[in-house]
Amino acid sequence: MISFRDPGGALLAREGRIFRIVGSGAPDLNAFLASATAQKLFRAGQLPRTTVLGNGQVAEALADTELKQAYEDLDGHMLVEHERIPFPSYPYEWPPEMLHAAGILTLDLAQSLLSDGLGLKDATPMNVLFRGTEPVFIDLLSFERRDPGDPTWLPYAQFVRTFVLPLLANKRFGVPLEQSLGTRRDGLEPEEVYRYLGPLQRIMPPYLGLVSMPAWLGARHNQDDTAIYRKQILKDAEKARFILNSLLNRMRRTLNRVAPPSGRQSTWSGYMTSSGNNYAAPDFSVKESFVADALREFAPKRVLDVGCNTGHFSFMAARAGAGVVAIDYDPVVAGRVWRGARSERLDVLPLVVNLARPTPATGWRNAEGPSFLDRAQGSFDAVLMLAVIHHMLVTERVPLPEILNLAADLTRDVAVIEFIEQGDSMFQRLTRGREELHRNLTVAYFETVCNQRFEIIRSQRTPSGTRSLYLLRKKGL
Amino acid sequence: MFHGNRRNGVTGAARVERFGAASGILMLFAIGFFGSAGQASAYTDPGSGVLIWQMLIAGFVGAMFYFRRFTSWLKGRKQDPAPDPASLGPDSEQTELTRSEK
Repeated sequence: MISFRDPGGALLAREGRIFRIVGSGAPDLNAFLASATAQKLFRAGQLPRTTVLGNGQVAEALADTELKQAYEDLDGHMLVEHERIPFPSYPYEWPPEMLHAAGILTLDLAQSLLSDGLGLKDATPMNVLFRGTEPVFIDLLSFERRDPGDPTWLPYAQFVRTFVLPLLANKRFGVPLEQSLGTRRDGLEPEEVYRYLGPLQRIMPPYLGLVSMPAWLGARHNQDDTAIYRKQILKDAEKARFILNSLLNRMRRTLNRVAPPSGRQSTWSGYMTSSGNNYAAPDFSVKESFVADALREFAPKRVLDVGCNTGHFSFMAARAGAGVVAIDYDPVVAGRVWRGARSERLDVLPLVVNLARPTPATGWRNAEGPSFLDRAQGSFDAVLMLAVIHHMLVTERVPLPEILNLAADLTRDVAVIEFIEQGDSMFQRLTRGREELHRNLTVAYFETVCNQRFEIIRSQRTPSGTRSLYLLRKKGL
Repeated sequence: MFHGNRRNGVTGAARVERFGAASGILMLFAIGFFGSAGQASAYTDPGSGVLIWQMLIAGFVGAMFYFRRFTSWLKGRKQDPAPDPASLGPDSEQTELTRSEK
């Protein structure tokens, strides 16, 4: 079971298909599906492609005993099937740009549904997945019929905790999303951010309205008084809608204010363009044509680009027709890849993942958010490891056979790996005088290790003579 | 999205927002300028502050609603229509929601 918190229904994955059992949430879901806004959202791809199963198909699907049991337990009224999003990702793996985009989608939905008399009952980034660079709101049970006189947006606080404050803490204090959303399901409380603030910051916008006021009001509020949670219904529905719309507009402006700026810099953001980059132009063009040839020859449908940096090779694979997951541990470069791929409309999903310390499994029984490796193993036709394995070998001290074994677990077919020899200046920069530890890392040793799980289709040494490219095919296919 | 009267490039909603922000600052003085959040401890309800803040803003925006209605009436202006779902994305003939009859 993928989700179970909502009493209105649950999501299950069975043999590659995604089913949503709808119990008590059926009237709300039907009201939503009948709305004009839903039709537009489906057409725009902002909701997952969805089929409401007819009686015959329900009976057929319920032949699966686990699905049948869950359907009975939830007192199922409806069964719907959703498209499978190629690679599920979680907010703690997104660069801040993607969290911002998911927040904008959430506000778009909340506002556009007002005219249909509907609203969102929760507002968390866990309701959003990315299809390439585009956010998709996946939780169809988040929609509910609204009381027209209700002026409050109930998930306002949740939106602040899970979108606004993590972005604010990231932008102003460098708190990684992995920290604010990784092991925390519910983001950051204003009280937590308040402790980061100096006395002047506390009274300055945006901290005043987002952090200080809620923290002060919360501290003064009698915790036994639950009257604030009672629904306030206005007689004038027009007024209620005006208030709600103003609140949502205000939230949109706040969200844009905490969005990451486009020109952020990091250690790796200038790698391909600065003088610190180790690529002589002839080396780079040899590498480019080696990768292009491999993509042409094997035409992979799904590609994992490990250590994607600027995303140059991810974009190349996407232009060749692949759906790409591009990972890098630097959130700044992942954010740039997202912006670049989005402007070119390329099917690239950039994620902040360090393959040497991949995202762990999270949530209840560690089963709500599967680990990165659980999602990635065997999910790709090609794995690109270009100018990256020396970081794993030297900085992370992972033995070469381990790295090649992981590459073989990740790919279903081929891998393109760049091997960097000890004489390379980048390699020496990383070893910091500990060359002795890596004496065994020769081309001959690399090829011996490759041959354990892969067949070497071809290799090419770059003109500088310290780097070699390998096209490998998994053995036993 | 709400579209208020557009004059001098400022929407009605934006004016309301500015008023809300100004009121927020005034309110700040009212509840005690240098308040302290204290340490969040067990059994407290940290979410309550955000909710109260939302209610306070809603109260001010609600007041602005009548003010806005009054000025509209005074100027004999009509209110703009409510959110335009067309802004959600391109239109196409095919829908991505299917209802199976089987």
